[in-house]
Amino acid sequence: MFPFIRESTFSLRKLLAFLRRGFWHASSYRLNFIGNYLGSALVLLFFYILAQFYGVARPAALANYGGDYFTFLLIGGVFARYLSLGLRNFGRELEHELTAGTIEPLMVTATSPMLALLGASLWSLIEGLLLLIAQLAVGAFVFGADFSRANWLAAAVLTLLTVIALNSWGLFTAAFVLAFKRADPLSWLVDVTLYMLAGVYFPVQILPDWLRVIAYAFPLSHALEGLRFALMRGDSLTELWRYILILLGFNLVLLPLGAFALRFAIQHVKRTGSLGHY
Amino acid sequence: MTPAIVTEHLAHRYPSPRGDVHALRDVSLTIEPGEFFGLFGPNGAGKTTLIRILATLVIPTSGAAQVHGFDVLRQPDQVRALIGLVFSNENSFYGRLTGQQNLEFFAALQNLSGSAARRRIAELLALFDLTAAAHKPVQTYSTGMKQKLNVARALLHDPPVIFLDEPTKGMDVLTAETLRTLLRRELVERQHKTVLLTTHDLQEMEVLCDRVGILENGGLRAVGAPAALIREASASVVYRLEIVGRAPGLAEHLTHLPSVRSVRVASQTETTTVIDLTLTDAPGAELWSALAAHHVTLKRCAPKEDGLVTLLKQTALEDFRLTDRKEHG
Repeated sequence: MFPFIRESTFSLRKLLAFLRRGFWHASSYRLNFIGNYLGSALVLLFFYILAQFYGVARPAALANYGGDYFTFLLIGGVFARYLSLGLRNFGRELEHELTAGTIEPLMVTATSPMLALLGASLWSLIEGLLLLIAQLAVGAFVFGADFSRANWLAAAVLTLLTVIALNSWGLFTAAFVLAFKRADPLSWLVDVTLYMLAGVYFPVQILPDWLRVIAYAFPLSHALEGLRFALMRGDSLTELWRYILILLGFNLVLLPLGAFALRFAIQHVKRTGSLGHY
Repeated sequence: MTPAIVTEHLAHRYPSPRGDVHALRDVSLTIEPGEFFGLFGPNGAGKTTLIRILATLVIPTSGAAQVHGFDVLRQPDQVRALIGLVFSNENSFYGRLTGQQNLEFFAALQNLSGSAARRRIAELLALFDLTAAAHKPVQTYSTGMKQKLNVARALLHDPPVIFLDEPTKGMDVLTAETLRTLLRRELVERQHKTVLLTTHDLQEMEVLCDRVGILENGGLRAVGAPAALIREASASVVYRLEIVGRAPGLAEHLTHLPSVRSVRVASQTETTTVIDLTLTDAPGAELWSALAAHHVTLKRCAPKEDGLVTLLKQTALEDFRLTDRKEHG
């Protein structure tokens, strides 16, 4: 077999192994496992009730999106929840590995250090994606979200680009956890910006000018805006070029920097002998 | 033949706010394929650091190390494919997963495919008497079971080199003995693997190892067959002499006697002088003559400790097991 194909097969098997391990681990906490799904359903109910508060009147700020407030909320809420996983997941899973004492056993296997450190997050990302699809389906079929004009391909492209951008930021968090054994101290900032500035509950356009500038410094604001245009108005990839370009720009900057930060952290802990410390 | 493990002037310093800690100093060592080599020393001697460097988990400050000719710094991927590491911490598993699930996961990370992995896992579980517990969560395992699973994990990909970092730490005597027998029989006699073991346990060192390196403060103090090291150490016996009065000049005189290796005045008062003598043999005529020449009255002369303890003291080894001392004494 060609070495490249052989290596790719091994890598795929390793990813599947991480995925299976994640499922075994998550499903071993049965109540938590069920609660996660139940909570996701309740969130939809909350969005529905919140949208009912506005009644049929469509706020002026929503006019640009061409849809109702529930669909607006649904897209913002479920995508923000999924996409934000990328920010924290690597760091959180790394913390779990450190406390379980499994970091060093992972790092002496025939697996690249990057994959060994980040593979644990795969289950959460896949589970989150399944949950996102389920929430959109329930939102549409049970609560009446309007996706009649949705351009799913454009939404998928934007989602992928945002996942890469936010996971690249997540590499910094992983590097921080590895080097300092504590979660990123800026995570509070991420939460605030995510739910206040990124346009989860309201369009970014209604923010004061100075806050809007800050909001657009984060990839999620662009992602949610683009996703709403794709799913509520049915904008094509060509019409969404600006969002695609911005997200690509974030990726070009964040991915190499994040990878560099994590590599630096790995070298640092190997020099100081603190890889397994917590 | 390429040596299994080579270290050349290996040194490592851990940075610390109170000044760097020298974990390893200029360690040069060669271990041949199929050899069971023991690293013996107290806590902080540098044993684990050496193993971690060889396992690519720590980057040394200076020097070089190779495993089967692959450099640990420049070719870490090749090195990792050749080694299995048994951690001293038995809590290095996913506790909520079963033993089988843990091994399946680590097998995939070691490039073992489905059917080959399943076959190998079944073989190892049977070998370490864990088949019955295979489908129970690891968090319900005893320390001994976890350590056996630890060894099984290190053997999954059948590596030619195994590092055992205090594999019997925290085990009861019987379980430790069972594991030792299994390690010797399986790893060396049947599978001819190269093993590097760190231990505090004299019995473990003597029973398992072909050669032993004694580490102290990061430096390699002695290397040799355990029997030879013990024989050499046994040739030195410490006797404690208690003499009436101050006995001026006696200690100096004793240092010149051929059978005396070292002299230490343990205490001295107006009424009593206590001297510890390291002798190559039991006290004999030359010692009694020296005491007589100084007109001293001997209150007491008794062995202070046996040879192994002398060895331990000589190399500043503090963490040994008293039970082993009795067995070897």
